[in-house]
Amino acid sequence: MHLVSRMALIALVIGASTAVVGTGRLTWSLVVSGTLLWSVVPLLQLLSGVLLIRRADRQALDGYFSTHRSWSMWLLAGAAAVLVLPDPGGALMFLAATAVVPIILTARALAAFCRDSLGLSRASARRRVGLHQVVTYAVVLAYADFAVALMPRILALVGK
Amino acid sequence: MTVRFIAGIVFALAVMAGTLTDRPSKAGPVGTTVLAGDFHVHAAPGDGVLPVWEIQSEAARRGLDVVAITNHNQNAATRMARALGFVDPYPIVIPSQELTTSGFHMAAIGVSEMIDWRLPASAAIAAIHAQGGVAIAAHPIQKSWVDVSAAALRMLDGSEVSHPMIRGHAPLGAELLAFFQHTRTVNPDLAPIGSSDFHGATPLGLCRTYLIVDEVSRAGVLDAIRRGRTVASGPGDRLVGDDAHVEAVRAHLRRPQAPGFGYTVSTWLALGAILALGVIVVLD
Repeated sequence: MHLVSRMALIALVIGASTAVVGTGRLTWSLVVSGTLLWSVVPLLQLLSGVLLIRRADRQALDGYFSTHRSWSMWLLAGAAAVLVLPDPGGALMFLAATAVVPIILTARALAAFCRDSLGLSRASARRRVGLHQVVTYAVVLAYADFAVALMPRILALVGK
Repeated sequence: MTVRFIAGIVFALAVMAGTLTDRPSKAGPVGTTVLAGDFHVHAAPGDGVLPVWEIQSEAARRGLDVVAITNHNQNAATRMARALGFVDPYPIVIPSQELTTSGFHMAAIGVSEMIDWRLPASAAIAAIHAQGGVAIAAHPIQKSWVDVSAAALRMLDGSEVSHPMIRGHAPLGAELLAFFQHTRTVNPDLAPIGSSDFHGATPLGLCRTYLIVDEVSRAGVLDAIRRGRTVASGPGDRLVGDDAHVEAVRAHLRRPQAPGFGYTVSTWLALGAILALGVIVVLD
């Protein structure tokens, strides 16, 4: 699959999954809205991919994006669970906790990509992936701060 | 013809069928004085999964007349939706905020300028009122409402007594009710509020508020809350409010919301589309 197609597929997976989690159904409006709204994710992944690969190499980036599979399957499995469970809200914490699986699998896939496609040593691959993951989760944290107002919650936890 | 191509066709057909079977009504209520609202709804971008215009469509599907978009200390989702011109007149969408502080959460309904989260509760409520909005205590259980003065309780307009958190957790339901009853001793017009605190997974309007309004408008909705003319509903067929208001609402009740999305044609079509998408991802 080409780079652009792969990025579009990622956006589509996120858009369709979030639409199902929100409504329990799929319509073209939901699919298009969600895909466009969340298309910022593969774009950010593209930037972090250039950081990992250290160059804007289309073929290498294509291989980099093939590591999306774990997260995409987790999103789709979560959407399917919301559809079949009688009370999906009650299982939300459990479903969220399973994210540890794609977190680990994606890091391993990225390390394998660095070794096999970029020809890096095991140690160099670990360093590159470590930096990539730090940047990725820093962006996630920044979005979480925007979305849930982290600062007052942190103050509440530490008792001000 | 590859498996991936067939899966793509299946996905497209399932989504098309899902679209054809979807008929949200956006016609608006006629001649009714009882509206159904959800005053605690999160949207994307934010910690909700749906953009505002899709929340509006979902509200229509779920028999809601009004929703308040209450993202945490920001209103980017509402501003984006309005800038794109994607918000219809009905169901009524009220730009709001979930004022998220270290001592309490409050649904600031009808504010366009965000309330500073560092303000104490009474000053925050005054700021909400200065914008013509109403202040609703959001999930005021003991561990999330720790820093609220008696003055603030007298200024509140509403308090959540129905919230999905109480499903299977009766003590939390008792805490919400206790907060409401205690506050009502110093604030007799305090409105009982039911909200879904919608992010996704738990359906929009699972818990909701019925309002007895003089006019079907944003102003009429806010006025009903200020005057305490509300009934909190859910989970299930639980109703909380003054006897006269509950009686008035009973005649207009929609059917109680199930905890999940149910197993309808739309559900199975969506599942088929998700499975087809999964095949495409696996074969990528």
